[in-house]
Amino acid sequence: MIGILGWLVGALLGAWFLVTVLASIPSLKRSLTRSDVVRLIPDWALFARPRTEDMVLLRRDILRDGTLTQWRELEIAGQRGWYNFIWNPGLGPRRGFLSLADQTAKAVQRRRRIAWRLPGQGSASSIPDMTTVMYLAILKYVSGRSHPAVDATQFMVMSVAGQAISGRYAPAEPGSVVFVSEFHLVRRQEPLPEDDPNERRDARLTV
Amino acid sequence: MSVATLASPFDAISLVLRVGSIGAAISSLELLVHRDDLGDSGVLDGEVQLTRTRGLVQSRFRRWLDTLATQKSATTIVAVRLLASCALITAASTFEVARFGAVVVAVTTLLLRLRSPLGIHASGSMVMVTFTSCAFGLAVGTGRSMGFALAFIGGQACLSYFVAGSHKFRAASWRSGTAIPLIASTLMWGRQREALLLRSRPGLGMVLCWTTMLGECSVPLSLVVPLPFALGILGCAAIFHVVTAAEMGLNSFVWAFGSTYPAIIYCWYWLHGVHT
Repeated sequence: MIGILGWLVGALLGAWFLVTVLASIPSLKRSLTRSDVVRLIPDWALFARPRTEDMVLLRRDILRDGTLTQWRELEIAGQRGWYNFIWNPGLGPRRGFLSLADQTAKAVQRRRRIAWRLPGQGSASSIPDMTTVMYLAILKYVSGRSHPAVDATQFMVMSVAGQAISGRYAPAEPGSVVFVSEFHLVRRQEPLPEDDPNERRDARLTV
Repeated sequence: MSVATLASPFDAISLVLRVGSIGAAISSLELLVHRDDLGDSGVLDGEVQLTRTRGLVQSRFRRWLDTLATQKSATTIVAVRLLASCALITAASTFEVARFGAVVVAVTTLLLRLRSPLGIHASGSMVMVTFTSCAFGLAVGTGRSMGFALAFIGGQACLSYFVAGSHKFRAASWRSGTAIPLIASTLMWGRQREALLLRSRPGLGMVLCWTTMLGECSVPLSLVVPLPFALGILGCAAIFHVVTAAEMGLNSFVWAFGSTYPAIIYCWYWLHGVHT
């Protein structure tokens, strides 16, 4: 019985290896990995088509007094340190956002031909993109980091080249706009002391 | 410990687990120290990610998935993974510890991947590959099953280097030598001093790009060349990972890919007719 189990392990791992080999062929990759929710099939094409610009997340808010703030960068993780060769807790979150931003950029490219725009402040594809996982994930992240005085928020993804040379993104030296979301009401966690529950201030918001 | 002991499947699998566990322990500790990243307002939050397919949304295990999405669940899973990794680092030479530890790290790794695929690089995929196959091999516990697990790890490692190298050949930026200077000019992967150096010396970028592509493609040769050359190739690959850890912050790659080398050496012995 144990002997048969040993062969079963071999067959299982052999099949897994074969699928990984097939998925490494670009034309087969999409169809083989479509329903792989745990990502059992590894993607070994590391840095084959690397993103050569930093993706920067910016936000601006409508405050409860109606003020529209300036765009400002939302830093995903702290800056890199000399010790990152052994200890790099910021890598996961940075990679996570890069992945979301990358998917956003690809979605925008796919939907470049969208001509219609419903009323809103976002990119042309922001309305159809609103139900996508990447949009919701970024929106949840931005919303979760809102000050209690924020009524509604909007985010923007920018690509900025050469930041290691020129320094961090500065509004005076913008990069390329990849995507701008619509404005969204922010989930309010606790009311401010002067909050009037009968007063609704979201009439001016588009979405 | 001499290299010849890696001809034994359990000794090889034990070393795979030890080295891999160092990386798994570091990445688990990183997540625990910055556990807010796993929470509601973190990039690695699971709530939205667990709606990424129709199957997940309509799953009959939806309530269980909702529990998995919480920060508390994720923190618990990571803590269990850390404990199992520490046990493996200290006692992977004991069969029962190796078996139990490999299963725990494999299951927790898969749960974290199910929760959110965000932030997981190829090193995370290699950790999944090594621990899952070791768990299968050790669960059955025969020399044959462990041999299959090691062959799988060695095969995946060689495939990973070859695919990484060969796919770069298809990209014009790698062939022209501009890819590494451009990557180095990002804050995400680069540093100012190296970026400026590479910008001022385009020839250096060309050399680095072609060395990377050819080096990655040549790792599978370690299975067929004489053992000293095979060890030399793996040594160069290890140095490559140390350099990318220092320059790009890819710390987990050193341990994840380094853990596959005992499996590659086991495969070398097996292919050359040496069995113990």
